[in-house]
Amino acid sequence: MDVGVLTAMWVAPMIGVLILIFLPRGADLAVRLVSLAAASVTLVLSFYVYIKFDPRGGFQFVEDMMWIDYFGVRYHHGADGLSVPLLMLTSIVIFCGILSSWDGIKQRVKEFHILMLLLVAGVFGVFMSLDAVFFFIFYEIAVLPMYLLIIVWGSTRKEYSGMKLTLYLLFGSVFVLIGLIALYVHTGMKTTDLLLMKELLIANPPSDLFVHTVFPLLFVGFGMLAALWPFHTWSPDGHVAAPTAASMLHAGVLMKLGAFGILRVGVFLLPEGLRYWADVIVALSLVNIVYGAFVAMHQTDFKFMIGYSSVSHMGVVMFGIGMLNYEGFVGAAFQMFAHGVMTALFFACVGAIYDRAHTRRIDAFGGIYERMPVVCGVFLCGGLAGLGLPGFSGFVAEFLVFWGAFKAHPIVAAVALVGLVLTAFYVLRAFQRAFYGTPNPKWSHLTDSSAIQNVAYAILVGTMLLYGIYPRLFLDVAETDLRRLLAMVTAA
Amino acid sequence: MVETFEALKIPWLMDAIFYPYFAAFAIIILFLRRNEKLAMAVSLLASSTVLASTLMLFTRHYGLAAGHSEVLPPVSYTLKWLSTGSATFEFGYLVDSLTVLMLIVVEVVSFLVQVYSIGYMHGDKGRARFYAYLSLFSGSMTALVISPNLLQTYIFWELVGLCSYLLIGFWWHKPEAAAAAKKAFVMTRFGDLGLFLGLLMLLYTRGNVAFTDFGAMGLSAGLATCISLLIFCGVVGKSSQFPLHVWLPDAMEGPTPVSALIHAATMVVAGVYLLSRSAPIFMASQTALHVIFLFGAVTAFVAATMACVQRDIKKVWAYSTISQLGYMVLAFGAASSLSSMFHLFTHAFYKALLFLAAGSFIHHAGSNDLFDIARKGGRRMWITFGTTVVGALALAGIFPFSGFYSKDAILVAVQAMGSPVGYGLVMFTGFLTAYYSFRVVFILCRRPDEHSGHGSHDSPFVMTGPLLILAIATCFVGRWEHGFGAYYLGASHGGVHLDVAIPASILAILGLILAAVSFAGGKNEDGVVDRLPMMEIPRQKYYLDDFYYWVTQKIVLGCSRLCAYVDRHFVDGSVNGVAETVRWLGDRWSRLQTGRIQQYLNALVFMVSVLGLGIYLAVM
Repeated sequence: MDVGVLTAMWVAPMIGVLILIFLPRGADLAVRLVSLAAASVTLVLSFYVYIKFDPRGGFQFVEDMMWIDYFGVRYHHGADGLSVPLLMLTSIVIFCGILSSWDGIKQRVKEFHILMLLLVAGVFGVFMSLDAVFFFIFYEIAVLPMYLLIIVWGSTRKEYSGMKLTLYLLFGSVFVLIGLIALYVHTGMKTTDLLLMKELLIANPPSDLFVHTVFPLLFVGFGMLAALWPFHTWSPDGHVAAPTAASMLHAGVLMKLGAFGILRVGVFLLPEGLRYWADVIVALSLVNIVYGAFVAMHQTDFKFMIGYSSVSHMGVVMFGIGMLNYEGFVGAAFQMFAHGVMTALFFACVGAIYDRAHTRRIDAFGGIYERMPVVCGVFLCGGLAGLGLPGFSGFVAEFLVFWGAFKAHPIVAAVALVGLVLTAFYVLRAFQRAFYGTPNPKWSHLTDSSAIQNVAYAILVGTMLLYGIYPRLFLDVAETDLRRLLAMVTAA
Repeated sequence: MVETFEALKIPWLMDAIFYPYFAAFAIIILFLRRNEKLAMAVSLLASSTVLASTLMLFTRHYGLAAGHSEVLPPVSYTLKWLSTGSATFEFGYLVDSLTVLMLIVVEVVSFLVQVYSIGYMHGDKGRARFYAYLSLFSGSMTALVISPNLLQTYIFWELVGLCSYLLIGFWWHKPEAAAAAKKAFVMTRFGDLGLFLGLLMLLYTRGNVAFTDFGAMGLSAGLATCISLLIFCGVVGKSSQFPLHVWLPDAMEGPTPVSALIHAATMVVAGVYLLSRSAPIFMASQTALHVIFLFGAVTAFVAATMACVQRDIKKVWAYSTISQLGYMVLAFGAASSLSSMFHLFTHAFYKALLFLAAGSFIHHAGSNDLFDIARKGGRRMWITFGTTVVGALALAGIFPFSGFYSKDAILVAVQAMGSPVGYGLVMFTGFLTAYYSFRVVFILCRRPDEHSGHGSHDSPFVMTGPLLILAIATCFVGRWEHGFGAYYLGASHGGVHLDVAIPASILAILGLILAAVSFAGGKNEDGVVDRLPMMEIPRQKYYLDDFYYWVTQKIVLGCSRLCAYVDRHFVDGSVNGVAETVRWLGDRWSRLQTGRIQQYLNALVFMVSVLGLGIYLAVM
């Protein structure tokens, strides 16, 4: 088997890391350019994959070779309709993340970029791995650099938050590990390849008890990363403490790893488990949506507000998964993408404000629209996307999820819809208090975003609009594979 | 039929109606934010293109309709937008007489408002942004009107809501404007939940939301009631019906041209338009129609009483708008889509006129207060004052102005419903309408202060020109009732019904006389009506604002505080508790590591003996 475009996609950031290691300290511009170049390579590759992807579905761009024969570990990579958009999301977010922290990071620039690229390599690896061992290794690579990123470059109780985030996610991955080992043992310890495991599971179906206990392990383990209630409290703390680009990656991409893991490993291997636990998932994610919105309303720090809004929006993803119909599934997948772009945009804006004002307290501002029209306008775009305004990709995603929800549980769907009004309320309330109103003379020194940051904003807003106006860009890619996945759940 | 449409280049015209505004918005927001003159030019160019195309569409479609004995079937041109297997959504245009009539309202008023704003917004720093938002609004409104299905309607329904938010908050540095913008968006959004649920329910039960198929849905009465009432929730929010109307008076914080365009003539009537557009579903449920009539009648009455006690000229017209929207809704509730749409049509012109004239007064006097405007020489602004009188005559329903005809049609429909209470209420509301509209006229007519040094010049022609055009429309549109009915429903309707028109006119003239007695001449600032003790209720806006304030502060924010407390202290508390416990245990365990060999040996010996005993017992 030859090595192809997918390997190149996760190796490119690694090569970037290698080059950065040998760059002299102090060559900040060179560091930024190298990491931007690495990000651009992944961007180009993910575009290539997106365009070349055959909408008839199945795993494509497959690279498959034996790695450790004795355990049956294979180097097996492939992309399907679920992962292709997420690969693109990742490369867009890292590209924009590097651009938006162009001036923001002034200390240890080299180390910062090394960790960022390392993290991103891990994320790419997770999205493309079809082998449990590689999946798990990449998963850990994606989670661990965040610890250093937070405690070195962070703010606001950074040691506490960094520790909390890391321990929490490691704790979650223990569940995942137990689940994977159980599956490995059940399938006769022949292989760790997810596709082969699936075949073995079909040939030798596990008992109901096995499915009903192992699926929740995987679901909760991955769900922690997707901020499933009540395992979500690491996420707002982590978002707040992390530096801008890390928050963008974290909320934009890392939280999707959780939801992606649920679908790729949990639902793919144990579809009956999802059917059995669907009602519990719906209930928990309903709490996520409504409760997350209520808590977000109470926050006084921009990043906390956005952190809790992410909790609420990731609830929509799991809400869609729990509906067991195509609309819910595709909506959930779309919401992962849409929320990733949107929340990256949010954090980019807040980062720009924080870098200039050194505070993120919503009440401390007032009338800064005067000084920062672009940042405020872009922030408004993010907020509007968050409250599900048509024209942005979030609307299509939420529409699909709620449509699926209405088909499955009409009353629950109606309750969840209240979350949308609450979102409108807190987003616009924050906007009113911080950006509108009489300009506060204290902030007359603020300047608007730099041209480099504007490029990042333009890419993110453009992506949201593009997918919002022409959602078939996403749906045509994802449809077949999601239907296949759904068929496993409903047929079994 | 489709071939004839193709031959008349109607698809091409629809493109010319749909795209220009969006293009203008994009160009201005991306490239022309600092170039105000050019931004205005681009916006006006788009506006006039769309207006011209609309008028061409009207002449062609009207000509086509005139050649047919019955109403033309709708024709739609669509493009697949979103498909999930169980349903497909299309994006496109729907052309029928309802579309064309509504387009005329939207495009004419949009164009006039854009022209007027050249004068009104002169010297404002954010003019480019203003024109960008106006273009986005007009574009979204146009797209809403030509939408072939409920999903597309919902999409643009939300977008016009966004534009309303942006334009109410246009002067963002005013805290009231910022608050009003948020209130408008959240209140309407609350109603939109119902619309969204209605859309989902229709989708779920029929898998189809195309308007052209609404007639053949075959919904059961219960389902039709349910869906209609859900859709009506959206209408209550957007068309500011009682009890969600409270955002509209606050929305007057926006620039006056915006009030005229969005909060009088076009966006707020989108709800009424949606009612007529989805009429087949509503007509299938008698219960829904009764509920709608009730809401409309209560709104018309309640808002009229509030309009009687306002001092702010824009607030008077705002409450009047709510009241007139109530008329349109109740007309639909009386199963007369025609009179509802006809009133929408006439109202758009005279209310836009009244608002634009109010803007002209405010521009001149620098104050919204009626008595202030009068003191500063309101009546010396001949064109503005004269057109206001024309608008007020139409609003009061005096023959032969346009309001007379459309109100007559509504009253006939209400009478046919056979509900004497409803009929009486609507009649009485007509009296109140005449009173408050002429209250404004008589106050403005007062003698100015001698020392008001403003002279007697009127506003510039870019502002008075649109006023004159709208005044002419107000004078003559009413006469078109037969043509309107024939075009809309395919059969000639209308004609003045004397049994209704005579009592209505008498009441209107009584209202006029009451206003004259109370406010003509003199210096008093309150009339007979203001001294009635019960007028305290409308003055306090029926305590609804207080109620909503209470709900937001106590219930919504209370829930928010509760959730935040639970989150910090219970959910996160347990996480930290686990961490603390682990740390505590570690601390305790570490105490065992004393470093004293004797203790270790003692423990070792003890453990070994316990273990040995255990093994011994087990073996035995």
